[in-house]
Amino acid sequence: MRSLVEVFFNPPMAVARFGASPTPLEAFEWRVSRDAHGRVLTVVEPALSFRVADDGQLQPYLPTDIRFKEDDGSVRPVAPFFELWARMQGADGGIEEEPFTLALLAELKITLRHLSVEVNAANLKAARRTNDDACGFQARVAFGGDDHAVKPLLACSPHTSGLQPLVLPDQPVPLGRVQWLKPVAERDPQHPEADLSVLRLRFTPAAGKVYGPPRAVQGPDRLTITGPVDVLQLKNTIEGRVHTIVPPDQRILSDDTPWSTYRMVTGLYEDPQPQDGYDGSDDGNSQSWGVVDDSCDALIAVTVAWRGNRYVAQGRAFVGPPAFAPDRRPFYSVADDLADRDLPLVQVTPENYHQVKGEVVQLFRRVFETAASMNMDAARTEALQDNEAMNAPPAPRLPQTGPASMTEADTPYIDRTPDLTLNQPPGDYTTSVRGDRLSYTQAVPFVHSQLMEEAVLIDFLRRRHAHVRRLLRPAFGLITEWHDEALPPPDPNFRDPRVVRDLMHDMRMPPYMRDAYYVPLSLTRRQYRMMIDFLDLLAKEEGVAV
Amino acid sequence: MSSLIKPRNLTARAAHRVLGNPASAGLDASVGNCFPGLEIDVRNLDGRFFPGLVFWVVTAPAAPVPEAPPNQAGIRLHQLDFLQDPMLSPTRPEPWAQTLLSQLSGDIGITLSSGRWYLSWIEQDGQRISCDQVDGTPYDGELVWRFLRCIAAEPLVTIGLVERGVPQPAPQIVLTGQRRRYTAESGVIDTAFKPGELTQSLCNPWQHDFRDCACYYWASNHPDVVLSASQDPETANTWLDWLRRDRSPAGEVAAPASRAEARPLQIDHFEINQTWQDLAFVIGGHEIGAVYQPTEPEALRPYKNTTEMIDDLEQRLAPLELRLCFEYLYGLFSLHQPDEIDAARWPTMPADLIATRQALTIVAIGEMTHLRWANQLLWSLDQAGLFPKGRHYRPILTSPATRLRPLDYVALDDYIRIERPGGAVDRAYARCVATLEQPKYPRTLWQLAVKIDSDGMDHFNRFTEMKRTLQAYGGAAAGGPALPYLRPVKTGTVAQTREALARVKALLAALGDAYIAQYRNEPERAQVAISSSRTVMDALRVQAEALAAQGIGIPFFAALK
Repeated sequence: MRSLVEVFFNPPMAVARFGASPTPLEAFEWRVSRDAHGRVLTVVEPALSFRVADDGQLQPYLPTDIRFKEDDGSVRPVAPFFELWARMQGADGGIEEEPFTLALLAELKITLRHLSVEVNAANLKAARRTNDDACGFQARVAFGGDDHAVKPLLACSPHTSGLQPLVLPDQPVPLGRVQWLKPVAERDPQHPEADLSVLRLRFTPAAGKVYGPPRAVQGPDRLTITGPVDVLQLKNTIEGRVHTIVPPDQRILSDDTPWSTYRMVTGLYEDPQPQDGYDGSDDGNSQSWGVVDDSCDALIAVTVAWRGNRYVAQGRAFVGPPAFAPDRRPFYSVADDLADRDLPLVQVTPENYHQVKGEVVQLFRRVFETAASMNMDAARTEALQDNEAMNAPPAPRLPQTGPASMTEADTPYIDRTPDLTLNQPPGDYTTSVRGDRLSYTQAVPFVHSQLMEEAVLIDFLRRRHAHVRRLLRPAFGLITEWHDEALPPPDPNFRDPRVVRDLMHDMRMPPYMRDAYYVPLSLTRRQYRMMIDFLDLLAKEEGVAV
Repeated sequence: MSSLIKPRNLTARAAHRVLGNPASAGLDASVGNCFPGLEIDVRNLDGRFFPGLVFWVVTAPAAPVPEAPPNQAGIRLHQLDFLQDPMLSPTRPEPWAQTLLSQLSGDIGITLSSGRWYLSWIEQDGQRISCDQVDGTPYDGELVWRFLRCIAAEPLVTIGLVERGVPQPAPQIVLTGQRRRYTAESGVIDTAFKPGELTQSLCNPWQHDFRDCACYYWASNHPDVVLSASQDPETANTWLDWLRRDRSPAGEVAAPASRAEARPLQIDHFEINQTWQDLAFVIGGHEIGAVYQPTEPEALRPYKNTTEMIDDLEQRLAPLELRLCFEYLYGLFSLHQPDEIDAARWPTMPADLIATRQALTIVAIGEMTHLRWANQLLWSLDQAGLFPKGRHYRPILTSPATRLRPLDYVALDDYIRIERPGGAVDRAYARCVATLEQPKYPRTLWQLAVKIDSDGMDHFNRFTEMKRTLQAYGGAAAGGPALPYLRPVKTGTVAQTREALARVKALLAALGDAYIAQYRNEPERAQVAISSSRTVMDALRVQAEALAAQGIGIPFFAALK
């Protein structure tokens, strides 16, 4: 008989996305277009989806299209499934991972009643800003493995004596719902590939509403771009279009908590960055309107009791906005960031050439998908204006950081852009004419669309490996790599956050984008080192088969 | 032909897809370079980089009130949280873990639980990094945050903590531990992070950030610029602001080139709290309605065999690219330079010429690229051993001569007709696509053929827009000899253009050298030849402009003789 070693979720973590429709978005996959005129683009294609019956059973079907909104305009939420899986050890010592099914329950001689489910979801945004736990709100549901009813996640503020809760228990904020689905042994004859006996949980996010105190009725919003400092210079002015802030039936929050008097940049609170990310920050004296959303992140736990031991699978759900452009992917994703933090560098050798090449091709495809959706002209302006506040010693071998950035004068980094933008003159702002408002924006997808295709990309990288190496902005190095002196010059192989020039924008790739720390974005260190090592391999191995 | 895109090279189980989930449910669909982000703020991970401790990042306040604590900037110890930290389990065998647990649950923990303690330095593998600048001033917390992100998972890290707001010398405490591995073997972010903690620093409400952020990189959540849903050729190439308030045809105008210009035209704060579901979904860069209907792959007729395809590539398709390239370059040089225009008489023409010249340049470069790709198809087929016996790749840099014309309305109509969907160019590579889809061919060649075949739509839209733009100046031509945006160019003689033709020949020779070098897997040599061709092309452009300004057009095809 086999032995249970571990239980876990697949996927271990997933993103749920807001939508007010009661019907979740159907499944889709990313594919390379098969259309002869599809430009090799990444496309979305419907994939096997599930309807959930009233009793919690799944009904598989394959949609022919993807409906993102209902006829009333409400968006369909992304409500991910989490499958419970098990690691099983056979008598020969071999380990296998497999979905936790009714058959496995039977093999282990346990029932659904040997399982329990617990979900904890919380929104701590106001608590983080005010450093007051009673301004957070959380929901907890716990139930047995044979309970397949929908469980709403109704959140209120935990508090101790003397603290004023933001969300009261009798007027909770719904953060979504979960359902432990009812497994059945029989497969659907139309879709036998779907094993309906797998144990699954579905997390459905909230509708995407805002909540506030009774006074969050209407307010004006300034029509100019302000930052956390200049908004203070404009305090006591009222201007802009007036809008409803929170609809009447959602004005249910306490108005006597620190969240209602919070103001950024006063030094009374340790503001998360960016400071001005709340309703009220841009207007008047920047006092908060006391508004919160119904987002959350949740920890999901399923416990299996077997032979007197507890086995716990844990998963996480994060709730965010819809992917409004679902066929466009970030090249620096949360998944890439997590891999960069914990995994070793990718080894690039002649033996794994084809595997790494596949990674590189995928990376460039994602670069195109991001770049083709960007307003590069506005991003360039913003980045060059950020540079103006910085003062770095001249670094002659590095690209321009001023108005000449990404113009003909930005040698030797500049290549085709002047041809494609008709020699934009130096300036923080694009010289824009009617019929050609966004010169840089137009040029970027033209250049990168050509690098979407493997043969063209690899050919380009082989011929221009030195140029590409120079054109990639180095990732930040590990502190163990940093130079001993406190003010070293820029290193060509890695950046150091103590070096001011390394914090300035220039045309190196990816250009004019910010990372999570408000400094110029590079690829992750893992991606960057993989690219450099791959370029080195191409340079070394002229004639290697592609 | 399977074309599913699978994520790879990620943390444990992150690449696993389960039935029923849209691809957008994965963390590879969530932007990681967030400030602060939309689904998760990865910077919160760094707050627990050291076991048992929770740090907050503090930025110097821009407008501190008198009662605000002084000297705030840095990485401040927010709380001790060692009792439930999976890294500090009492049964954990590593000596550092037991030492640290003992310290935090003993006197050191008591000391740290009161007062304002900040990170003073970080040391790993003998490298100590100070959190203070050279002059002793603490770096801002936002900068040191990046230091934390640069700590390696191994070896052990030692940190120095110093208390602020107390008389000097300030108390210091030194602790050693392992930097947290943020994602556990199970594939879940360490359970030390409590529900809500990973999203605590996101904007509140999230709609505020959707409206406000200057990040310009949320491709999947928040495209900056999009193309219209209307398929109206008048605006087919016009980038619209996705966040525009006016979603009627009156709002379908080009997105401004800066945030400041765009702001008054966009949805406001508060307004977006209620209207975010009105924002359009976007597929292939185009706004769509409520439903996306995937297109069915078209059934195409393949060539009878590889030889027939090679013959067509050599005799028809590659020559077609060179022909169009010459024709479009000729058309480009026939346009006045903006500074040649009497702006008092034609106030809008300089701008329109800039836009038209840019569009035509992009199309001409596109055709040059296609010429190269058509050759690449050929040399790749030979490299794959698919050429007929006895034949080998040779650069195809020839074309039958056609009449070269200025970019008048007749020429524009012809180019629109040629490039239109379903037209001669758009369908030219369809049979290559159908043939190369067969499994005996390298898949990359199929992609290449698709790529060439698909670019026609862009060219069609660009020529349509050029026609629309330049039609504004048609009135002058009705009773006069020439359109005012055109130079009075006539095709020159060989004698008039001898030097330019020599450059065209040199250009083609350099391209031929480059293609041959590529065919022989000599990328360095190929790049030398390509660089040479670009130098020649730059000189040719200058010369062509000068000749055109004198009314002389280059008889490009004469260079092929």
